[in-house]
Amino acid sequence: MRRLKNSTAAASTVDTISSLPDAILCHILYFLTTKEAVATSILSKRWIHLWHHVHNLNFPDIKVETVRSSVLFNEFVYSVLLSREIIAGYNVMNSFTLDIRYDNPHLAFDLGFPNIRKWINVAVQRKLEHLCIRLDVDNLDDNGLDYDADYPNLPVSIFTCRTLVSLDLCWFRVKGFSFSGFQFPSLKTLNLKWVNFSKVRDFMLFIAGCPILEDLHISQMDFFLEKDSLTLQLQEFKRLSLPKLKRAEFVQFGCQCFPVNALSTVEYLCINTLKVNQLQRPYDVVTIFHNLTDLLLHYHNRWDLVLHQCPKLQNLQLSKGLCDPMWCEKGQENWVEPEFVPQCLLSSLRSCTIHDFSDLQSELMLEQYILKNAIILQTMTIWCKTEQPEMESKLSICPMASETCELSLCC
Amino acid sequence: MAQEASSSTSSKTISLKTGDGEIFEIEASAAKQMKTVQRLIDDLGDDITIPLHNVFSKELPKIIEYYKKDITGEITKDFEAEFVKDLNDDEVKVLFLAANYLDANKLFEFLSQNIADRLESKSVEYVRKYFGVENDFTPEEESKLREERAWSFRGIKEDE
Repeated sequence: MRRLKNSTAAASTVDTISSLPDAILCHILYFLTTKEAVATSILSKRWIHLWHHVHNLNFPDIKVETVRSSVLFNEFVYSVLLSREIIAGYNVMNSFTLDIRYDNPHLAFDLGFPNIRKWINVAVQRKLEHLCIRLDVDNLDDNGLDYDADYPNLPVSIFTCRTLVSLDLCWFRVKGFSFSGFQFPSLKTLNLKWVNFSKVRDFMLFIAGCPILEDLHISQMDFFLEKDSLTLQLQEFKRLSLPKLKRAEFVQFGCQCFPVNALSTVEYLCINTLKVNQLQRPYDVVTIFHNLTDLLLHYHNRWDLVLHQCPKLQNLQLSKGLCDPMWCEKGQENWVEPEFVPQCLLSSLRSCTIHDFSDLQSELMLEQYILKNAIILQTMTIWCKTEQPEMESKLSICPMASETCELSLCC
Repeated sequence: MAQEASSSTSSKTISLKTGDGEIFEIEASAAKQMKTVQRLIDDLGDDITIPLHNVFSKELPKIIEYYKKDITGEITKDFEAEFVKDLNDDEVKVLFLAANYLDANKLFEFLSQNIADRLESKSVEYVRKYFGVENDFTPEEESKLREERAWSFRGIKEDE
């Protein structure tokens, strides 16, 4: 938005916000929800039309419980879109945020989604940069529907919106779009939760089409791959590269053909159950994470490998995560002592936090190994569900490589 | 810590004088982030104490604190939350107006968001007072508008 320019140093004192020019007031309105921005129209006559010049739709928290509220909300959104276009002549929308929950499938699928699709179709034609649509519906079971199967369809017009800088979607199905040649050349932030791509190859092509991606979050997406397609996909996408990626977070993400080396530039990595092929077998290509300083990992069975891959690691967190048996790594009993001490323990690891500690021998050995070898470690914090006096004593007598290390055991 | 030797002024400090006569020092690289200050430096030179008639000793230290963090690239969401945590709505408003006057874009953006957050679900009267707006509607005009925009007024606090 345009800024107030003071041409001389001795500008008249501005002591109230209302004495600022319209452009600056609209800047504050931009950060309000649309509901509140429209409400400012009754502040005074000057404010009747100011909200028309705010080019976003912002509905961060909508709950629709009745037919009437559904109709009212739909009408409101249409009237906002129309007045901005007609009165202010606006054909630009910078950002569209909608986080909406419907009380039952009828409200959602019959009254809500057809209109949401229309709004999305309008928005993506208006140089949209930020899109966040999160859907939720209650009482699906009562109506014979399944959260993990009856996804609403995402309007594929989204994939033609090349101005997008950030995309955040929750609970959609993606189908009916050909991803060959697909590109989101400006996309920096991607957040997908419960987004069902009907073909895993579509998903991989989608990710491959985001060359300047910096922030990636994927949650609750599990792709089932036949064995023969797995080999094909692995081959096709093994060179996938995301050279600007800084942060990646995976929660309940299963995609056997996703190449871990695509994550190699990250500084922050959080993996709370990630099923990919490479993590479970000896590698042909070992990925070194040269920039990784913060790692949050669901418990792993080959720590010797993981620690070696993060030479600059500063902060390490381990947790059991959401331990659905389908997702848990097997073979946690075996602790394999690294052949030689990993670089990160010698020169960079400052903090280590263990969540959900239990009395598994391999966990204890990992902690002892870290304490014994991490030269500049400052804190080791262990969270357990119940008191573990045995473990406490074992750890407190463990020799520590770092003189300044603080060991905390919390319950 | 790696210093950016962008120019000979990289470690130079600039003196700023507030409207109530107090003097504060900031680094030249921080001053660059406040376009009004930079313009004054360009006009008056960097050896002179730069006068800021519309910024006062109560708020300038906070602004300096923000830009100190900015030039070392340490501004995080946590820092920003902490920065405004103990400020009341009026103090944020004063900072916002100062950031606008100083043409300090990053702080201005952040405070715009913070003001918007603080006004969430506040009553219309509160917002009028906060912005300094005179209500020039008749009661009939106002209630007509409220009716037309009924959906906007659900859940917004009514005044006593």
